Parts: sequence; structure tokens; C-alpha cells
Amino acid sequence: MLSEQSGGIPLILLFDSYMRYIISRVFQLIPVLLLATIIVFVAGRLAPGDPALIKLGPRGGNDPAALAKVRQEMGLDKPMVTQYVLWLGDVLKGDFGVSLMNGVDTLKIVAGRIPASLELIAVSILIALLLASLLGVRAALKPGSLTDQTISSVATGLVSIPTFWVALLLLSVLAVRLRLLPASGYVPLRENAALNLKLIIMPAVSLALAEVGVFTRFIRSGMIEVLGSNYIRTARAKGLRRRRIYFVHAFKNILVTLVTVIGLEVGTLIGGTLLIEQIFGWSGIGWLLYQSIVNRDYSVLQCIVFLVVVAYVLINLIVDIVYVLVDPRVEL
Amino acid sequence: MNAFFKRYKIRGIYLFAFAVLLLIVLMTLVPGLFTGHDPYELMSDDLLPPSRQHLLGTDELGRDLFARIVYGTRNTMYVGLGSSLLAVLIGIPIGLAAGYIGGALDSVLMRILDAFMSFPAILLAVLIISVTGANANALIVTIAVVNFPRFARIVRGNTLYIKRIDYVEATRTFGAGRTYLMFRTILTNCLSPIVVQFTLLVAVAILIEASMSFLGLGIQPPVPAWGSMLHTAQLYLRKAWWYAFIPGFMIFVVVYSMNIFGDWLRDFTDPKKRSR
Repeated sequence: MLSEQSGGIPLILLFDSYMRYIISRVFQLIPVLLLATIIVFVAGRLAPGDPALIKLGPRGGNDPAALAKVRQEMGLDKPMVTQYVLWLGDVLKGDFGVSLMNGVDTLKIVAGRIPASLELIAVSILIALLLASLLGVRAALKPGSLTDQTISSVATGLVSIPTFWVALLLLSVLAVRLRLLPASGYVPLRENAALNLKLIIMPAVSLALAEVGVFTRFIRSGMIEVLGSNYIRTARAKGLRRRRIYFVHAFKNILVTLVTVIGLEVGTLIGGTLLIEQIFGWSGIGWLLYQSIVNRDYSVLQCIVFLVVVAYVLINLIVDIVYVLVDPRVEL
Repeated sequence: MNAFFKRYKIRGIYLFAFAVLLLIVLMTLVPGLFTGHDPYELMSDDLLPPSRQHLLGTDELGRDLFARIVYGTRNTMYVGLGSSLLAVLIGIPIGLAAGYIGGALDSVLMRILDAFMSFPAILLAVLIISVTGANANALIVTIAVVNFPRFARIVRGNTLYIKRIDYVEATRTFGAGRTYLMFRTILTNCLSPIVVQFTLLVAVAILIEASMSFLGLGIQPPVPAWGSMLHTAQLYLRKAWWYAFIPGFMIFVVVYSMNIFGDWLRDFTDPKKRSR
């Protein structure tokens, strides 16, 4: 793409400005991530329950000397700032402590749950994109028409539906009443693909519905803009088939910006897994997060929130960089 | 009448939203108008289907569901409106200061807002609630913390635009101080986007409140709230599907009406779209 858009500008200069943009974006992220880690750390320390007492077990409080010793070992007697630096050092080495529930390394527990959530989120995005492109393109063909107004109202409706309510309705109709689908559970895709797909339908659809609303609005406005441009008129004049014009020529041009929207919506989707995975027993990150809240297992809670924030920020950084690389019109 | 509708851009869907919101206001202020039942009274068999005596049936403890829905409105709106008001009160000064004063203060404030916005809303809410404990007032603070950054950004954006307009410069030359310029001249001139955003914020806040209550991290039983009713109802899907249907439907209808109302306000207050 670089050579196509460089025009009269020497390539090396263009590359230089890309690098400068990327480096400045990365540097902007550092304070943001540091602040985010401070929020996670402070929440962990303010949470009810003395970490030293928790480590000692239920009878630890009876022995003040032992308690003091553990506090010292854990660095709890040092000033907050020192504690934060020590904690951040551990976290960067991948040491989030051990889970209260079973004493297993926190990062290992969390990492084991990631594939399930990734699969769920990916399938939801696919479903949402599929439905939204049909609705969005359809609405954009005749802006202001009754079809357009109806689709817009439906999109607002989808955004307003509580995902967990949809989940309960699907569960009550498809699993309880009609017995078409298994109510809950998780099986890795590699172990039993058929069952995995059966189990993922309801959680993925519940998670996707709100996103259908978000994507539809976006695709509609993007398509309206693109359909008014000259090259679409040229394509029409050439006598290309309408469907080909809409879904190949026009749609291609909103794909790039659509990726940005998807990047931003990943946050909402991860938040949604907290509710949806719990309802369907889909044992991913959201399910684990819910367990850690119920059991007050703070090291797991902190670890998940930390990883999610880092992932979310990095995904959007990559999306931004790709966006600039692909779209020649973006000014740096 | 038609001219009136045209003048205020009222379509059928807007009428629906207005009607719902009016009903919600009434249910919040005078719940006794709608039902004679007490939402806390254990009055009959549990999980009865809807009937003449119990319009929406009863819950797992034999309390009247309709009464719990009606009285739950107030709790849901208390958190939804309260948290949005708080978010606005935090967001406005930050947005004004960042936009008007600018420079280093702007960069610092923006990075702090970015840090808050790098958390998915529900995750940040869960993190805060795990510290404060779950109750209605903690939920108000939590949702306000989750929502104020987006709001502050919108105020900042408007401030950046308005501060370059001549009447601000004119007011300054008359000797107006920084505080006066920020809170009188600029703020009063970006009130309409603020009001529009506020209505959309209430919709988001109600959804977060319902999600948190559904997780058992929001309004606690026996106090009636739509989200926590759904939390209990999921245990009785087999026996009483309507128990799970109704509270969710209420959340949906209110959030939808709030969003539609916000859209209407945006259209109505946008001078570019105003046709007389």
C-alpha cells in the first residue's frame, strides 16, 4: 500500500512519519497503562480483608507475632508507593500471586480460560457483522425511507436490550421449553467440535445482538457516504451488478473504519462475557471473573482486570496503526 | 395538531417513548397509584401465574410481582439518575478546565481519562464494587466513575470549539475572569449537547445498574430492583418464565425510550436540522 499512496513524496520520508506516529502513540500509552495499573493495585489493597491474614488462614489472627512476620515478608509494612513498585515488578514478571481457592499460580488459572472467551467473542463478532451488514446496507440504499427508519429503530432497540435478559429468554425457550440446545457448559473445540458449536450458539447470539445495533448504525452511515461518491457512479455506469457494487466496491471502503469500531467494541464484549458466560456456564475469563468476585479471590480478579485492560489498549493501538497504514487519507 | 408534531419533529416512535417515560415518572413518584399491594408482603403461594388478583403473578416468596416491578422503578431510577447527575457534576469542571486552560493540564487530565476508559465499563464497576461493597449509593458512585470520562471528553470538545468564537473573546475584553468565562459564557453555550448526552448516559447507567444487580453486586434483596429480580428469576426459568420476562422487558423498554428520547432531543436542538 505504501508505494501506491506515496505519490510524489519520497518513500523514506513517508516511512519516517509513520514511525514517528507509531512511537508517539506508544509513548502516550505508557502513562495510561501506568495509571490503570495504579487503579487495579489500589482497588486490590483497599478491598476488605488483610492479605496477610488471608495467607495465614482463618486462625492466623490469634498469633500477632506470626502475623507481623508474614506482613513483613509480603512487604505490607512498607509505604504504599514501595508496595506498588514491588507489585508492578512482580506483575511484569507474570507473578500475580496464587489463587486463594486452590493455591495454584494465578496467571496459569487465568491463561487456561482465555481460549474459551476468545472463541466466544470471535463468533459473536462474526454473527454481529453478518447481520449488521445486511441491515446496514439495506438501510443505506434508501436513506430516510420507511425501511431505513425501521432499521434505525431496530438498531436502537438492539442497543437497549440487556444482554443477560436475551440470554435468559433464549435459555428458557430453546433449552428449557423446546430442548433444542444444551442449556449450559463448555467443551474445548478440539475435544468435541459438534458439542462446542451447539453450546456456543446461545451465548454467542446473546452477546452479538447489542453489537448488531452498534455495527448496523455504523455501516449505514458509512455506506450512505460511500454510495454518494464518484467511483460508485462509475461502477453503476459500467453496468456492474448492483449486489456486486454494494457488497464488493462500496463495502470494501468501510471495512477499514469498521475494524476501528470492532476494536472499540471489544471492551463491551469482554464486559458482556462476565454476564453471559456465567449464565451459560461457558467457563472462560468472564466466568472465572464472576467466581473470583463471589469467592473474594482478589489475586485472580486483579490479574483478569489487568490482562483485559492491557489487551484492550494494545488491540486499539494496533487497530489505529493499521488504520493509518491502510488508509492514505489519514493525516499524521 | 399536525403542525405541532411537525414543528417539534414528533414521529410515532417518539410518542411511544414520551408515553413510557411519563409512565416511569409516575411510577417513580406515586407507585401507590398503580397497585394496592405491598411489594414486601408475603401474601400468597409462590410463583403463581398472572391472574386478576396478581396481575403479573407472584415471586418465589409469594410477593406480588406487579407491586415489586412498580416499586422497583424508583430504585432503578434513583441509581440511574443519581449516577448520571454525579457523572455530569464531575465531568463538567474537568472538561471545561481541560478544554479552556489547555496545555499541560489538558494532557494530564486527558491521560487520566484515558486510563479510566481503558477499562471495560462493567469490569471497572466490578473492581470498584469489590472495594466498596454492594448497595445503591455505592452503585451511584461506581457508575458515575465509570461514565464521567466520556462526558468530560464531550464537554472538552465543545469547549475547544466555543472558546474560539468571537463572543467569548468579547466577554473577555469586558474583563470577565476565567471562572466566569468557563462556567457562564462557555458552559451555558454547550448546554444542549450536555442535555442530550445526559439522557443517553441515563440509559447506559440503567443498563449497568441492572447488570450489576443481576450479578448480585447491585441493589440487594429484599429491596425490589429489576436487575436483582432477574437474578432470582433465572433459578425458576422452568416453573415461571414470565418471572424472568417481565423485569427484563421493563429494563429494555425504559432504556429504549431513553435512547429514543435522546435521539429526539439531539435532532430537536441541532440548529442545522431545525426546519421551521
